[in-house]
Amino acid sequence: MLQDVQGIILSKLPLKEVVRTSVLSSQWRDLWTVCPKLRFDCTIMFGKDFNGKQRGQFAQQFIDTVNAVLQQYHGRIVEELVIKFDFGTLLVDHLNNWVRFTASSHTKFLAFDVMPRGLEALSSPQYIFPFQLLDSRSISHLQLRFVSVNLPTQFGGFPKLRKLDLCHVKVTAKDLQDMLSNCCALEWLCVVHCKMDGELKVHCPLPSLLYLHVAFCELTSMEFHAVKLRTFVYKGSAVRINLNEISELKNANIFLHGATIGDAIATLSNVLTSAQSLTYDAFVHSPEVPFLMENTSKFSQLKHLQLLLSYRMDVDNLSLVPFLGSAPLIEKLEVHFTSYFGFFYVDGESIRRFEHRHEYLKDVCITGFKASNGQIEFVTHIVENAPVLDVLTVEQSDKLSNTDPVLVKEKVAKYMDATVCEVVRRYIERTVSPKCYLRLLF
Amino acid sequence: MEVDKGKGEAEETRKVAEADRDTVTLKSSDGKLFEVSKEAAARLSTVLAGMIAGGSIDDNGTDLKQIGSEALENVVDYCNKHANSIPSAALISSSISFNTAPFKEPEEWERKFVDRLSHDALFDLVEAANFLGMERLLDVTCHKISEMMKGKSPDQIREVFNIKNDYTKEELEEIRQELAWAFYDD
Repeated sequence: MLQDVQGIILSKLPLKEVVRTSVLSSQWRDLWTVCPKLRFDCTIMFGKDFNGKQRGQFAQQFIDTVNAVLQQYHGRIVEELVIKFDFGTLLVDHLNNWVRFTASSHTKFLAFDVMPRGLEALSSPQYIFPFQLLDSRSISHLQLRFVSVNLPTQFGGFPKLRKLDLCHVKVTAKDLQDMLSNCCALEWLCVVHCKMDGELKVHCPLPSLLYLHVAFCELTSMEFHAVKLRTFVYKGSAVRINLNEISELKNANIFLHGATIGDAIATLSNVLTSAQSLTYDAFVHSPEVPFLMENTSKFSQLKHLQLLLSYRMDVDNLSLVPFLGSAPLIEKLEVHFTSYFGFFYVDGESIRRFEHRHEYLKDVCITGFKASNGQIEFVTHIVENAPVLDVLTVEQSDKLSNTDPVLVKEKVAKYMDATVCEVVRRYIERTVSPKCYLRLLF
Repeated sequence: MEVDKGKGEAEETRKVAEADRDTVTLKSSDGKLFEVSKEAAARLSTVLAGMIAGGSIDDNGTDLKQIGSEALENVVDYCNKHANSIPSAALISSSISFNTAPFKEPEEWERKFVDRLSHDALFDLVEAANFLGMERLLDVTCHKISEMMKGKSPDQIREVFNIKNDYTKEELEEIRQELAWAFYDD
């Protein structure tokens, strides 16, 4: 087999397995050194034993290996360099040398993950990534984890950068703005756990950006100019988000903490007017501020809405119904309920009715349905106000707390709760249109 | 779809007529002819794209002396399947992990396509893809081969790939010593 083909095959294997091919035969002896993708990941190289007593020894071995391999590649093109190791035991000089190496090897993909361990993890990242050593003109994908960013004063941006992934990076909003100031080719941007404590305003247009993910950055406001954006993910507090002139947004995934649904509509309305699919995840404070229904459509293109709602007590329709009302074209609705104290049915309380038609609503799925008064009001509202409803799925088990590893898993019910049965009979089965297929799950 | 052009521009006409045909005919080393969508061939193979653009495509079958009929049949099959497949909507919008980003995972049909091949056919196809500059097909076939190697012992790999171990015991021990970290959990 030709050597360049062998190189491609080897580039798809973990480095450890690539190196092991040297024992196959003398023809394979040095083949591993032609692999153009170099991934040095301590967890792959040393496996589970890595945290043991021999850590110091591993660190030296890791450094020696990287240096030995990079030595072999001196003066050659290396497509990708991945370094994953805990910083505490590494020397800054080595890391800087490896960045220097990428500049001379025209490396396109660079990943640096220098996660601190133990007590060091609590302090801010110690390693200052040396942007001045990087060849910012050739880099196409950059992933940084647990480093500090301190941009040189004369930073020219990344003209070829297509993907930027920052996680637990210490960076100021100003430096991030400067980093993004000349990134015309950027398609994918992810900024997670980079505390900026302020506003992030990226005035420079990002004309190629398709995917934007900002999470847990403690911003006070956010602004981007990305006309082609198709997917937007935001997790954090309900701050003012301004995505100017977006028109092609398809999917949005939003998690807000400390916000009422009313706040959410206000925050999201100018962002998501063109979105067709929205996942909204929130802890709903109770009681919600009654939010008066207005006849203005905010989510004018929205067809698919997924709500992941954690309540302290019961569901509050005064906020849920208008939220739906703001999406007049909605066709598919999924609502996953969970409650910290559980949902309970209180006998004798009247069921309130709201009239607001959902003309296009065809498919509704509700999980975590325990027949609490608020839930009954909500499901009653759906069956009475969705004239073209095709499928209604009502599921008793709580999907949210069951997928949350922190919370204790509730026992999977073997039968439908008697109250739930009674409620379903009284409020759903009698009212629902005969054309609608009703699915009850426990 | 022949286009009628004025006389005296014979060369020009020939090229235009050729450019207007939907398919190109390829000829394997053992003389078998295969038709393939011109659009797909130009999109998937840098070598064929160059030949089409340069007008060196022969209507009676472009000679590909380096490729046997079985491999060429698979190449053509792949091109035609690719022309019909709907590109995956996920593409960039899904949160693909950084490390897999440069290589898009094989799609379901591509996986099936390479899974049904015998070892010999797979290796022949890799070489054909390499010769024709078909980056995606090369990537998909190499991916399959790498999967055949993953997690296997040296002996198992030697058996799959028919590699003869020509080391002495001492030489083997020397390599293991030198690259000890890679053999750590053995």
